[in-house]
Amino acid sequence: MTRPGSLSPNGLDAAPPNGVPMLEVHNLVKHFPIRSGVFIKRVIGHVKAVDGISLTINRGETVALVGESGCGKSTTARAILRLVEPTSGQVNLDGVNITRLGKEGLRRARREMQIIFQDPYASLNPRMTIRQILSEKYQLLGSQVTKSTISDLLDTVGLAEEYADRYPHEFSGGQRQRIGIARAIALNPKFVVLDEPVSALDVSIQAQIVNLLEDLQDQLGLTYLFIAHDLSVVRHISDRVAVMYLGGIVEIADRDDLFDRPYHPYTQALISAVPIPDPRVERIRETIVLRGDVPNPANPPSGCRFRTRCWKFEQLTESERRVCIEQPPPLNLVPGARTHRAACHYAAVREVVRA
Amino acid sequence: MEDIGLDASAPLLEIDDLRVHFKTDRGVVKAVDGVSWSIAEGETMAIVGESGSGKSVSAMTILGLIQSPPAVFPTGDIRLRGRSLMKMPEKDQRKLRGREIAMIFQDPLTALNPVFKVGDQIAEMVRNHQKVSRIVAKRRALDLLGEVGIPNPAVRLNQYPHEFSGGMRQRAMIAMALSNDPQVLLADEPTTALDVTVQAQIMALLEKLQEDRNTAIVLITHDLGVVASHADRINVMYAGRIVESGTTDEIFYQPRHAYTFGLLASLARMDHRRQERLMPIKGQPPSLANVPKGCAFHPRCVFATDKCKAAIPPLEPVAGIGHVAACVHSDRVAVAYEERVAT
Repeated sequence: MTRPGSLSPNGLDAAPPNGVPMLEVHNLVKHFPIRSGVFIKRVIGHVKAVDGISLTINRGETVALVGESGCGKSTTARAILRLVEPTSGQVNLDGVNITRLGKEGLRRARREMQIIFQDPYASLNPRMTIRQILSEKYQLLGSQVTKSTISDLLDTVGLAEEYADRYPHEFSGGQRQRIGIARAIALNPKFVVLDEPVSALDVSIQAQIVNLLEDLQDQLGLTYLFIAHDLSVVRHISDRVAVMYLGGIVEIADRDDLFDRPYHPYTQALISAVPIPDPRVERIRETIVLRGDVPNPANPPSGCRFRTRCWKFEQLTESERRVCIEQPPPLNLVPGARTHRAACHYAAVREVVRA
Repeated sequence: MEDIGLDASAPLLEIDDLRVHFKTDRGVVKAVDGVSWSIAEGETMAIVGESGSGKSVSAMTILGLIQSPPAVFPTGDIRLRGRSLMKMPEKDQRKLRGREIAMIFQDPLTALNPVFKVGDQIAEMVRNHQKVSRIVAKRRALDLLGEVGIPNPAVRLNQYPHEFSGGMRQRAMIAMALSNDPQVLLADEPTTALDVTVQAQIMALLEKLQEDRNTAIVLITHDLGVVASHADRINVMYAGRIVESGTTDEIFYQPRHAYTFGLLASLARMDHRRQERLMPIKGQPPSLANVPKGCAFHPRCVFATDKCKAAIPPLEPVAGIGHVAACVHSDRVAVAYEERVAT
């Protein structure tokens, strides 16, 4: 039996261009226990934040993980990096199983995998100068700082050297995000998680940071996992896109396939809800308005988890609906596709970007 | 409305040369520096700008939420149906706020009081402005929760804000704002904190309520997508001033200010196949304590010349009736826009 979000048989859809893929995630699970009781804490249930995710990212590729708040996209990223311990599953980084690594091994592996956070205000220590923040990184991961290290690093992210001895509060949001990026790329990692890196920035600054991230990927050969809810930036920056809902991947495809030919009703609703900055397009475009909110991940619906909000479910007959209620839909290839998968019993294309 | 003598023939809400300055240790912060606009019944007018452009401060000033001191208002007037809010005694202002003009905020969690039941908060709002009994006010709160699409309103009425999801809280705040049937609704980033599927629900709700009640909506946002799909007219703000104003189509298809053009050109588009590179606006938004001389945008502008540094360009008519832009190089912007569309 295939669980929702798992790939069969081995999760490798896109054949790696040279040897092992940069990142392989097999059936990753992260459940948070819910405890109750005053003196004796008993576990009374689990929040199934990530419930069986499989994903492969090739070298130099950018894969976006999108979905609404609470879908588990950030927890997935943190579990991949072992910033939270996964409940089960396996993560291979450049062929090395990092889920089994001990403390010292993990510290070495951290040189290869880094994260850039959404909020550059919260992620920099206000009492340290930029030079201290960046130097600390080298010390923590056991590397030497030479005289030119910091200035070279700042130059790479588009900041002048004289900024090195200032404190974070002296910078604007965009500049702070550049510092966050500098810290992440300091030790030449192979794999970087970008967790909503431009969401907190002003519109005119977002494009600067997106361009910088793309330049760095070219120069340093980085592989990105891009966590986002802004689908416009996702369409620009990613090669492939995975859509998450309530802890599982519901659709995964190459970028243009996903936006031009989405199969899953949730993907279709999500794309249709993003307003496009073009009044004439907006006037003729139809928005699929979903009912209600995302259900509680501690108690997800049976069968297909999206069915309680699904616009398609409402159009089905009683017997068709029973399939959605009873059977979790596997993440299957859509007709005629080699890499495009959708987890829906009644998956069918619906164009939502233009019409 | 009679008791405060409003003029039915004057514009519904009018802001005239409003200036809101703050005296700080680092100099005078000119958060709003000479802003004028007006809005009519049933209209949606967007104020677009980045953080620090003054878009929220101007709205909060309308509602009297800006304390003076520290704020000073060197010039300007706010008129509701011809009656000046700024010259009105505080007592009369309070009558108008919440009744004729209401506001919804970006973050409903900070706008709702966590220790009171949602229903009681809405009922209190009703009783502040209408002489009705508690029971009638509570019934009105129930109706409002139903009207804004909250399921099981009778149960929700007796719950606290933390028991609501983000989208439901935003609906509750809209219910509270609508409790006295305001003529003007100031919506400050009403959907920024919400997921897109919930954002679509909330915007659809606001449109429906506007149709039913002919409410004027001032939509304050940085999201050009939301603006494109909901606004009738747009004011673009930069560093405390309106730099361009026009209909939604004029702003999107005939931008005449370099900043408007830069903003539109920098956007990643979900409905377009990937362009090679995004075209960002260079530099950072200015500190309002130290706004560049002349056109505040000139240090970041690709069209800037010495003329831009000399004096602040006034808003002048460009193509179309009512379409104005404060840009020395509006002709060059027009050419650049056409070239960009052609490619």
